[in-house]
Amino acid sequence: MILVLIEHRDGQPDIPSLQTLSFARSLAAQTGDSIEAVAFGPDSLAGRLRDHGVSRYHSIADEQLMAYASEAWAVSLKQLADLISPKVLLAPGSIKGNEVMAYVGALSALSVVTNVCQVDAGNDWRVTRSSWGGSLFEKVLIDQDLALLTMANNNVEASESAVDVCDTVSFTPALEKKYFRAQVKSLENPVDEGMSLKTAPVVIGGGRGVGSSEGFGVLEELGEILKGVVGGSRVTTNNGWRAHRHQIGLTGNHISPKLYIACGISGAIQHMAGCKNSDNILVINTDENAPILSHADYGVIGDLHEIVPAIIKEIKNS
Amino acid sequence: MNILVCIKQIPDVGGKIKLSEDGRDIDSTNLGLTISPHEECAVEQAIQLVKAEGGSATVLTLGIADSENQLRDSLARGMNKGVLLHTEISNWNANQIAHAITDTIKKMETDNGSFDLILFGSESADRGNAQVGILVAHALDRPSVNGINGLEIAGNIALIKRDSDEGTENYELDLPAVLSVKDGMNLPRFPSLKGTVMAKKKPIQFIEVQPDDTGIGFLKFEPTPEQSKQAVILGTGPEAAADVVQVLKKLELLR
Repeated sequence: MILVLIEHRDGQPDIPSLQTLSFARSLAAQTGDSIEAVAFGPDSLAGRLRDHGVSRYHSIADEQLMAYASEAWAVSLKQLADLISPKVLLAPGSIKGNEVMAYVGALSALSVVTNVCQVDAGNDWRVTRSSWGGSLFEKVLIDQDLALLTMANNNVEASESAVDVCDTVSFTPALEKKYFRAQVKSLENPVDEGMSLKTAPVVIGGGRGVGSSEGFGVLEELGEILKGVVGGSRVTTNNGWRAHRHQIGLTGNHISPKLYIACGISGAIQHMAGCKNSDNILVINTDENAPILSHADYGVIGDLHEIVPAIIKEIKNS
Repeated sequence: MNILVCIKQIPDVGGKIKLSEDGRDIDSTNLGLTISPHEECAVEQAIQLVKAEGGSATVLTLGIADSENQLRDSLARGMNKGVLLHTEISNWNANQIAHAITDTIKKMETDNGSFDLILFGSESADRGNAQVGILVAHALDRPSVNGINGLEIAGNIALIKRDSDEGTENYELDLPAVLSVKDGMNLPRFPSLKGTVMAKKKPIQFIEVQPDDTGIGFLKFEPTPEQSKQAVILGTGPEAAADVVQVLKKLELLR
């Protein structure tokens, strides 16, 4: 049996968890296993879980676990796994999913494979994980009675595939006080900034070639005309030309606009990790051999300080 | 305040990763080494905390002899001393790395007293397993939060902020604690010329280490499919603006 950790918001499983269930079903098709789910949440999740192929839902509704506590959650999962002996424990590749699974691994003296894209479940399990910020696949071998896996983000679509019934079983873990030594004390709601780098249909990115914070002026102007949002590579945030929250890259925002206009950005893999899900990439760069051109759809060779104003003028004239 | 920061040196690959013939290593011929942005912020945090609270900041890495350069770079920024867990064997997995670091920390703490804080980057820029900090925290029986965006020390308590999908989480952890830092928590300084000169005289302890037989079996790397695309060059210089506008219209971003 494959056991999937579900995270939820407002009484509904979140999208990464539903994607994880889609992945679990493709794995179950190889192994012939059933899919069960576990959540730190109410019975009412069962309906949506049934729609996504879960035949049994283990609800852990202990009041003290409702505020996230990594170790307490992990101890609970381990106790449940010891009881029902799943072949796989699979979690979303979220901040919590990865953290809890690392603890489950530590508690069980087992290895965890994170960022999983694919599993070939033969005699020994060959797992493909995303590595180097998504630039490489890494193939690993696991030989454990319980495989501990977390998902690569947005690797599969969250699709429905209902089963007839999803039983709900309540599980009550035995927890010591010390497992709550890292627990969320309070939660500040995210600030709604309107259109963000993550949601904008057009993103304009500046890199080293922009040269200064003033240099971003023309990018801002183009952004306004195209109703887009302006971000920067890590060079620009490290030099203080842009705030860190505007960083596009592996360690900043991961964007997926209809068009990404990359100005003066060479295209280090850490930057590409943040923008490769763009539908189209237009590059403006002085270097015709810039690595970013081998990831882009369109290129203009030359100085962005001349080309971007020319584009703005052309748009105004047309 | 006694702080240990663990960093990992990786090849500075630039725009394209070249693999060795058997796919088990990055072909790092002609490549420099660097560390992950997360770890640069961990180093910066340690330097700021020691400046404010007094004490000492140690930087540790596990890697080949050349990794000494990454330690010297951290020392040039203001860390006080370095530890190099030396191995010429590549592809250590997260469990092997965590075991070697834990063993070293235990020995160091027996000799010099406990670290108040042990900092990691939230994930390495190469394999990105995002586990070593937690494995070390568990082995040392200390509280831990992975991927933090803010840290303040109030007496014996670490006040922590972490951004999750739901919003910003606030934690209060008793020290000693193990924390993994996310890029953007601070603006890492660059090494100064004076710092670089001084770093040459700062102590680095060399310890030989071997991987144990735990963890996941690594097979090989493979390139991802989208690595070979070639852009259509619309033109050179400002004259290309009209063609750019055509593209914007084609994508229905302009009418």
